[in-house]
Amino acid sequence: MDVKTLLELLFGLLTVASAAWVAFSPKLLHAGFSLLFTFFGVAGLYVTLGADFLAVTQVLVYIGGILVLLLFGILLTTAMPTAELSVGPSRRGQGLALGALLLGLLLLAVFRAGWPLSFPPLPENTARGLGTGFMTTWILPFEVVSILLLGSMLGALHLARHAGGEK
Amino acid sequence: MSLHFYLVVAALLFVLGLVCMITRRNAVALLMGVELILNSANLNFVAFSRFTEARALDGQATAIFVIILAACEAAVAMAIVLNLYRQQRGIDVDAARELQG
Repeated sequence: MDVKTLLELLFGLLTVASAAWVAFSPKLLHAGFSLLFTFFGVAGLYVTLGADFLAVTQVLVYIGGILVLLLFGILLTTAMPTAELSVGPSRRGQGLALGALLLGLLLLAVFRAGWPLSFPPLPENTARGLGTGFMTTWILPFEVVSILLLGSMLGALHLARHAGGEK
Repeated sequence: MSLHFYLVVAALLFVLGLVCMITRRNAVALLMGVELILNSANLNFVAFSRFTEARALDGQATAIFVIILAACEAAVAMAIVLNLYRQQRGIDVDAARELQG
């Protein structure tokens, strides 16, 4: 077993194990910190897939942005010690059963489908290709998503300022 | 490692995110489930673009767009969660039954 396979297994295991802790942890803050390892594991998997720029983006945006936002949210809103984190046991069982069913279906699809596999050579540097692509092939979605980002930031600011009816 | 390894990891990630969304009552925990699901979709995009004939960067560009949308979603959802908290002193989504402010 070479080093690359070992790393892939390690990152995959890290991702799945910490995601399981996100889903089942009895403490919300633990789930939030576990999400850090999930994002990091996925970034590692991106590296093993040859997507270096995407891995850096994942660390910057997910860990540096979204996760910090979520942790702030947890710390700002968990002043209620009595609030239940999860649903009751019966609905929990239903959710787990549904998840197991879906997992079975997905695994069946993954292993039954005949994927047309090939192994094209990796591009030397994905950042250059992506940058050129964003300015040529994907220019329209790039502009649309920029406007969407601006709009959602303004919307989030507006929502967070005029909260709870008191203007 | 073959494509199947990444697909299985992504499937597990997706199912865990879904279970998280179904079995949690806390709004922030629900958001975490959404992030897990988005990550699994991204992993699929990148793995398929690596292992099939498609141009290798198409999947990665799509994944970057998904990351941008996830950032938008997290910001707006956080604002909504804070509003919910100020209105009813808690973020139990089962208790949030009123849509009218």
